Amino acid sequence: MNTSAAGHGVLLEARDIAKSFGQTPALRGASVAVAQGEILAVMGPSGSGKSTLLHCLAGIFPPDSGEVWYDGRRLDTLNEAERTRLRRTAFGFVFQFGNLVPELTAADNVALPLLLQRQHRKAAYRQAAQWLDRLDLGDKGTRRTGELSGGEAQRVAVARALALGPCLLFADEPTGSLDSLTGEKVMKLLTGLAREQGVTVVLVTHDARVAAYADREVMVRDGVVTADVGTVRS
Amino acid sequence: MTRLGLRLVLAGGREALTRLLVITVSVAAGVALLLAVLAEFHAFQAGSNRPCWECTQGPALPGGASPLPSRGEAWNYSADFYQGRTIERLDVAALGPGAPVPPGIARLPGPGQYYASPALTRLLRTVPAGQLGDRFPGTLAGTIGDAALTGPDELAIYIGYDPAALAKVPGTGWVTAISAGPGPEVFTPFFRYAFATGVLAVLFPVLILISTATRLAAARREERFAALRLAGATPGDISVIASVDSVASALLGTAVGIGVFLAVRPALAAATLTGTRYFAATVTPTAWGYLALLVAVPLASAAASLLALRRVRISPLGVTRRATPPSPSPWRLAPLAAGIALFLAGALATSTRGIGVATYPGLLVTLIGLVIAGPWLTWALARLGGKVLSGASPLLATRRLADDPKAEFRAVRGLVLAVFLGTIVGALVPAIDSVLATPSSTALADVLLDTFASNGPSTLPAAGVSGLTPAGLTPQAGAALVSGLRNLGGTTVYPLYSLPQAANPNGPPGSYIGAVSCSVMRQLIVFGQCAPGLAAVQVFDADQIYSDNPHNSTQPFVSHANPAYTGSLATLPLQAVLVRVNNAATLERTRTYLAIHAPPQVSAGPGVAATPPRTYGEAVAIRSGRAELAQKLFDLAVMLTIVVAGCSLAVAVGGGLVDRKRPFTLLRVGGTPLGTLSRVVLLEAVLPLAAAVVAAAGIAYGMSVLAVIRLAPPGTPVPGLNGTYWATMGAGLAIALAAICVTLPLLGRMTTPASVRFE
Amino acid sequence: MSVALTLLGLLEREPSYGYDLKRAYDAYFARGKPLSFGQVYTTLARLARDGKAIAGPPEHGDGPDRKRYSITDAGMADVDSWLATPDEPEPHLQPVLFAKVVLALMLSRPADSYLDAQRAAHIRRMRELTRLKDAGSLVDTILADYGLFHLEADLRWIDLTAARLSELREMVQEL
Repeated sequence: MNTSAAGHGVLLEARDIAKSFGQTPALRGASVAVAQGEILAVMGPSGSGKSTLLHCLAGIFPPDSGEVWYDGRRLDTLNEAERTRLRRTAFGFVFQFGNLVPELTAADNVALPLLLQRQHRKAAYRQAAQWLDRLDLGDKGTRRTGELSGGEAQRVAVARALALGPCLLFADEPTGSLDSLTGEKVMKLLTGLAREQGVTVVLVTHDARVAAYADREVMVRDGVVTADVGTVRS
Repeated sequence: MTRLGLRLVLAGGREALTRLLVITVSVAAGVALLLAVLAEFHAFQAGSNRPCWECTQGPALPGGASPLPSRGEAWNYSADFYQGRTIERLDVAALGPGAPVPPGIARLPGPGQYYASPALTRLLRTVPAGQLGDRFPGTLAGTIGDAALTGPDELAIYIGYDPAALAKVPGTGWVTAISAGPGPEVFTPFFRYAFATGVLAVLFPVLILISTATRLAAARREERFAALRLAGATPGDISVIASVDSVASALLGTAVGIGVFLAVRPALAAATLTGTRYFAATVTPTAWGYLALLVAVPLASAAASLLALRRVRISPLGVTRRATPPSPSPWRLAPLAAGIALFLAGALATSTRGIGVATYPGLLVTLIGLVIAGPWLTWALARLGGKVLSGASPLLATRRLADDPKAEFRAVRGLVLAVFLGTIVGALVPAIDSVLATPSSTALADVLLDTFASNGPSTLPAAGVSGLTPAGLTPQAGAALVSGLRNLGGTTVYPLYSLPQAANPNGPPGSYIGAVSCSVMRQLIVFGQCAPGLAAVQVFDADQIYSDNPHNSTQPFVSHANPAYTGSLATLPLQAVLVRVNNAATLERTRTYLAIHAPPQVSAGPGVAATPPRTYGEAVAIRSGRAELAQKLFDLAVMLTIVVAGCSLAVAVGGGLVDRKRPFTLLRVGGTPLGTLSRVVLLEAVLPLAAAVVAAAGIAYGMSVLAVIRLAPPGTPVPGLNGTYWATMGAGLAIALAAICVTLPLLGRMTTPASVRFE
Repeated sequence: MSVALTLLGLLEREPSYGYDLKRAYDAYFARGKPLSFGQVYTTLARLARDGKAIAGPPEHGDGPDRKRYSITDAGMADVDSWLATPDEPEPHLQPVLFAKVVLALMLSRPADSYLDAQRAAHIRRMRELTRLKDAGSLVDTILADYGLFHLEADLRWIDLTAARLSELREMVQEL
């Protein structure tokens, strides 16, 4: 049983969840709690199940057994439509690559979630422009995804994930395809913006230097959450 | 390599199986249709090539009191009509032993005997004698065999006569040998062209489908193929493996298609696609046809798939991400503009005399121009849509379309061509019909015309038939005929008389040769009105009334300018009679009565069959029948093209999903509902389709209207598009939409968030 | 490198003569730099003086001054806390960490937990350094990067060794 160390309420929690793909078990009885406002790093070797843990926590698919609680309600018992809506409005996602739709421009990509929530086009694009300015990408708004560098694309992805003001941000190896300096820029941006907006972050990575940006880390080994290092209050 | 390819095919899983199925079904449909076209053409050829005994001609029999020859036979061929069907009638009398026997019978019928074709025999048994049987003197002695007939529905009769009696009938010739060669090829070039078009209309969409499916297969397997390349396979090897898929399905499809055709063949044999039914045994593509398809279709599909893969380069690192292609240049519109311009030039040169020489190339260039301009149209519409439409789905769809319009348009190319062709035909044919069916001929649809005057120098004894003079029937015979016709019931008779100068064929041209009562004219308003107060007028050489083209013949020939005729009409010979009938039975009874009491006239010389009496409606129907036939064939070709193009579209859309798998999956992970993505896929297919279809239909319709305006006489209404057109187009677009919707479940399965695994 | 604690750990395994301790140390931990007898006996004497070990009565036998040493409770407590307490994360910890892992395996202690604890300490330090980069000057950043990379290297070693523990355990128990 892991304790959440930050002292704030627990926002997201997995209780003893298990998930198998065919014959292969990916998670067997994993439990973790994420406190409101913290940045949690989920580390583990390849094949340990950390990505699967993230997917279950984010409601991408329900676990085979166990419970996932979000904001005091059961997440894993919601149907697909409700989970989709939750992911759209309350969660944000940044993946290692492929976040952006290739044929859209940077501004389009950031505006997309706003448009999906039926905002008016002008308002959506204005907000998108503001985000891009904030990221120092103001002049890249009309560039297509393919014309952006890896770092620029990931920054746009972060902006897109935060555009609707989600409560939770899920990042899976966000700097995996980037070099050290670019990766540092992206991590600084991600954590900085999250802290600023009070967004809770679940960060899956195998890279310790990326995990060092978090407040707390847990280890996933063989489908179970093993270590939980307490928070260092900064 | 092929073995490896086969293994990949068989182990491909559900998706590969679906692809196999789609190609097999489409190829099967295409092959079955091709076989049907070949079979129908073969039957048509067989029918045209049968010995044309009707073409037999002979010199005139010596007239007057000279003795008849002692060998050969007297031969009088004429055509009769029954309920819109032609009866081939041969009146024959042997002049000596060893007279040649026409095909289909063992010996000539003697006087008072006749041989009839099976179809005619059936009719004679069922139809009242007054409507049909009374026309033919004698009793049924036997059946005419297939050798003389084009098809099982043909009506033919050989009637035996006494030689002396037959010699007196106008038009009888002396025949010593019966022609055995094929008949004149009036329509064969047209039909050959139509058949060739049919083959192409089926073949090209099938090949497009196969190449699209192969490209899709290569894209789906790119990882496997990249691995093979790493292991040392050359690009050629990869092409072979990818093609095995398509060739295997093509072979399977051909086999299935042959099976389907064999099952459908009896129905095909009973159908009348080209207007007549052929003998069932001739409706077959022959062994050569089967063989050709068995070899050609897999070969063609192999070629198509290899060609399709030429552009797909699979490097050992997988298909490299391609940069955004440049947007299509406006120069793409040039061929389309050129084609329209050519067509306009040809249309301006067109008049009722003939079609301008630039119209056909103009049409072809326009067709090609549509295909070339398509990507630009798609791009332009995408840009416009992006500005006008709001929402996430339109944003995704329009950006994608503007990104690579060429690829998006490729999917709907076939449908656009089908729409263009279908619209041209759909607008033209009703126009042709309305050109023929002038308002005046419509008014006379149930008016029968029979003429009794000879139109040229006659070398036959004028008194050969009682009451017949070069100017027509004698007044007594004429009056008897008119009252006999009136007594049939259901008829209204309008007599036309000859003036004495009509008997002089060498008289000055432009002289009045006929007379008609004004009360008759009042009932035949179409032909004009007398000046008020007259009882009868003289008419010009009313040749046009006797032509069988209602366009020429239903023109007024009486006006206020015609001078009065002050004599008594009852003393004039009867030149012609118009009979309005109230129903089909009355029409046949009228024809039978005329056949007995006023046999056919000589129109141009001995041995040429006179036209049997027909209503104006029947004359129109014959001509428009051909146009309708053309439309039916075209509609069929268009339908087929649409079906195959629809499959092509489904395959292309499915292939496009491959490119979108990752971004769409991540969009769904991020909470985008599946419905939004489905709308994107729909929009991406519907927008280019709509743009091109509207453009194609609009241009085609405009061209048809222009053609009709130039070709048709003034006053013809602007051609509209009839129900058949909307039904065909509607069905086609429905099929296209259905094809797109079929791929939507695939979208859901491919992008399910649970499939996101990044390790 | 705490020789005293290492010898104490070896002593906990079984009471030994100085000579045996030196041989064991050289075999596992010396890596080409064997201990001198003098250092061994001095360390043992200090340990005895501090109450961590007890020297038994001299035995007659093969050589002079053969005393057998045993570990005391205080000594065992020292070894326990040394093993369980992670070291301050600094570069060049490898010899110490290695010694701890091997000894833990010898003494049937939970070597993997010790590695985990050390790991956590390393991460904590890395976190501190990362915060430092945010707040400090460019020079601070560059220095912190240096530390981060070395700590990361240590972590990689810790992970790899953790994966090899069962193999290592077998090898150690053979000796």
